[in-house]
Amino acid sequence: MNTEDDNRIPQIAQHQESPRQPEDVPYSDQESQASTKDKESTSDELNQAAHKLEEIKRSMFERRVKKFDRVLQSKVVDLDQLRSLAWSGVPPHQAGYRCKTWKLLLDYLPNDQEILAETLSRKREEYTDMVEHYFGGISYDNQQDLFKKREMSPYEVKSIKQIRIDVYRTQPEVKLFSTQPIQIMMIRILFTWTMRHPASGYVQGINDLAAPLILVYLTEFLQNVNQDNIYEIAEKDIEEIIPDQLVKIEADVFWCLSKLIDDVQDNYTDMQPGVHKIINKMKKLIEQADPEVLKYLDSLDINFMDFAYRWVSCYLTREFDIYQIVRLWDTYLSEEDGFSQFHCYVVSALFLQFSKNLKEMSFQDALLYLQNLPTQSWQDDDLNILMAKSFEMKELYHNNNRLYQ
Amino acid sequence: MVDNSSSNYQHLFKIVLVGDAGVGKTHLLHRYVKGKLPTNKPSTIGVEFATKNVELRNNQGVVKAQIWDTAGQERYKAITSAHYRRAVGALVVYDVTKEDTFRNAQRWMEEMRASAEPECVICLVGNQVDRVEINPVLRQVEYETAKRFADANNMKFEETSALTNKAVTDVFDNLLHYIYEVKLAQEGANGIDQLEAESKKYKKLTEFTSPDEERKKSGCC
Repeated sequence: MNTEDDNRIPQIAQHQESPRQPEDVPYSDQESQASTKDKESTSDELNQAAHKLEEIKRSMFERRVKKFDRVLQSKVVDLDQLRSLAWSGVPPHQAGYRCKTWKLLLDYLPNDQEILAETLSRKREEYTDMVEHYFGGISYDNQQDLFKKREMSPYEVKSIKQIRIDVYRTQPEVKLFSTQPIQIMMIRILFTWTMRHPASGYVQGINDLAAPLILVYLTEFLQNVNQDNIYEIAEKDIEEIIPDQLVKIEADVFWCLSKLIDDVQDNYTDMQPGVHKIINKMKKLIEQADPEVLKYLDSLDINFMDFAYRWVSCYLTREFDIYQIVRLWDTYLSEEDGFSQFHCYVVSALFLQFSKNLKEMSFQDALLYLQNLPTQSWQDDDLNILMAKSFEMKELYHNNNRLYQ
Repeated sequence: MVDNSSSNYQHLFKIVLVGDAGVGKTHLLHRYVKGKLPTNKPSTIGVEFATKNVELRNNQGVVKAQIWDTAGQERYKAITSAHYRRAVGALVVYDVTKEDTFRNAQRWMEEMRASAEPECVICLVGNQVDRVEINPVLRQVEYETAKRFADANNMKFEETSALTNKAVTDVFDNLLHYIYEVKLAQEGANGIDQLEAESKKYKKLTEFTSPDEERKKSGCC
């Protein structure tokens, strides 16, 4: 972390302590206070401080876990409370927390436990009926036979071709996405979604949105897998999940993906007006925050569409590693209009975080830099800071009508 | 060996890579620019950018190739086609094992011709030829068919494999030479001067030269 970031933390912490997140003082605040004190300390005191910090972190974590427990297990889940808790990240170690949180925040699960089971089984049945119609049944073992059971229109053939090509190269760093059952699952989800959304049809990048949902919903059933090591989930782990459970995961992912895209449908319709709108607003935000860099990019003739397009339309799934994507989406789902509005503040804050490096770059270097941001190695703390900065921007600019014109 | 990061070049050529999704555009680009295949590459969304400095034959100077890789899906046409403008070269790529990608090559070519510079040099590229070398049954587009199509439409033609690195460097390097020759033939010496002037203007606009470098330059030559 550089000094400039250190200086900003207390400011950010103020925002995090605002009524919206009353219980979530970020760890980094504790760290920065500790680190200023440590500068004059001996190494013994340093060790003690580190130890103490660990303890604080652990106890804060335990407290958060307890709160999640309480909220998620109450008869009627308080969604506001859940949002304010999940905003700074759902604890990853308790399998099922994130899964349930996402489903609740996407309004797929009802918050009333009494009608939950019934709603869920109805939705899952509805999905299997659709799959029966398009595929003549569900199985997870033969990819080639997937579409053999009926005649298809040219539009369907074209869609399938495109979906297949993209499914095979979704999240290529994460092994589980190259296993047969998951690829079959993904092809079916995307195709069914495509057939039900003729206004947009399948658009490259929608596969990237399905991946985090699949991962999160799958890990609920992978109790034996170390959640710190999801990169290593392999075919044999997936095989342990019985087909009945896979069908449930598949149905849940389908409905949640549909819910998620419903809010941002115009990112994927003809000419993609949604993406253009976000990028235009992003430019206006940057103009307020750092007009110099905007002028500089203009002078280089660099167009925002050439680098921000992917950030916006793939919801940063290409910029971050899968852990950070999932963490980022905790916040998106906790915000009221996370994917349609807050995302704009996040991509703007992300740009501003790196913009100081751009000011002396050539056209070529600047564009290459922006198309390959050094964000793949980010840790939780980096992302927490970005979230705080985005929140800060939202507070500053959200009611500024000029930005919406 | 030409220094790739160097701003020391005499010509700047903008090239675009187009063709259906999954034919291997990004792989060809990586192979050419980085000398290896990309590891774990997801689909291209919008456009991606790369450059390479190449020395032209017969001491004609160094050209900086500014190469734009594009998303293959039709839905992205609105964004990608903005880059056809000012392009002086294009690779229209298809997959030799997929007939429909070859049929669509005609559409890609027509779109290039409609919006690129009038003298834009287009090369038709049949990629993934390694697969038919192992198993000839997989071939769906005959070499002769593609060659005839290319000749009839004033395109260069080559079959490549990004996987085995077959003809990849040739395709790009030749394209750059053709572009240079076309400029030379069409516009004569004046044209090239003009081109260079424009390149320099553009270079000035796009390159930042530190005072140190400036001093170095005047010092050594």
